Amino acid sequence: MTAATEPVLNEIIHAPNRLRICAFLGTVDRAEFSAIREMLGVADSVTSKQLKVLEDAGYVKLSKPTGKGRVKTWAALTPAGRGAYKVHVAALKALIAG
Amino acid sequence: MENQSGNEAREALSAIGDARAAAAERLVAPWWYYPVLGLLAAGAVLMASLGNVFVFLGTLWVFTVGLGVLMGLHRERTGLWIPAFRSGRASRWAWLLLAAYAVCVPAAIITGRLASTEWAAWLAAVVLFAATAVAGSRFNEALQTQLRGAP
Repeated sequence: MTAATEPVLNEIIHAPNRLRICAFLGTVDRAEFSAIREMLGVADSVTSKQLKVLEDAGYVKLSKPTGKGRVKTWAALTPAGRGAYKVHVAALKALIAG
Repeated sequence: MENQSGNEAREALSAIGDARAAAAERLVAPWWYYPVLGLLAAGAVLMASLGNVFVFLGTLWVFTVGLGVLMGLHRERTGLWIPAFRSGRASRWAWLLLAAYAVCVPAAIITGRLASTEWAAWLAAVVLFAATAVAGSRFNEALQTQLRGAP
């Protein structure tokens, strides 16, 4: 593999909380805001901020399905987000492999 | 970022593992989830085989609504959603269960109508209840193992 095709770390995903959000969402189809917040163990505002960064990058899609009861926010990785996350994980593994 | 050490990369992969484990922990279905789904399926195949067309349609409606309520409860309880047929290697249990439904339901209905016997319907109901409970439990286990594995 040449240097040009080696996976590179993604600066948006690399931040610890955003990396954990991508890893969490990478395992499921979508996750509710409170499940993400509890997984991170941080405040609502921190969770919102990190999700907004990922949404602005086109890596996460946020939705608020209407229905009975309180409206909840659900987050899902976009195809671009899944791809970027996979490349980032590959880059981390390449770093360890040296 | 170019200077990131192997240790930092290991820490990042460890954080990924923690996040995946957290998802696995939340996704565990309650013990009653698959037995209730099995009861719905067993009831549906019994009514579809033994009743008239109106009973069949009513049963179909009850099964569909019951399935929707079960899935909705699970989604609300866990805050996560993962489609059974798009769950990686664990999906094979969902496909296997679908195959059991595809064989048992028509076989019970056709046998019941043509031979006017009830035993096929009762046999299909027992098989579907057991298959749903077992395949559901195996699906749960496979999904847990998969999520806790390497990213």
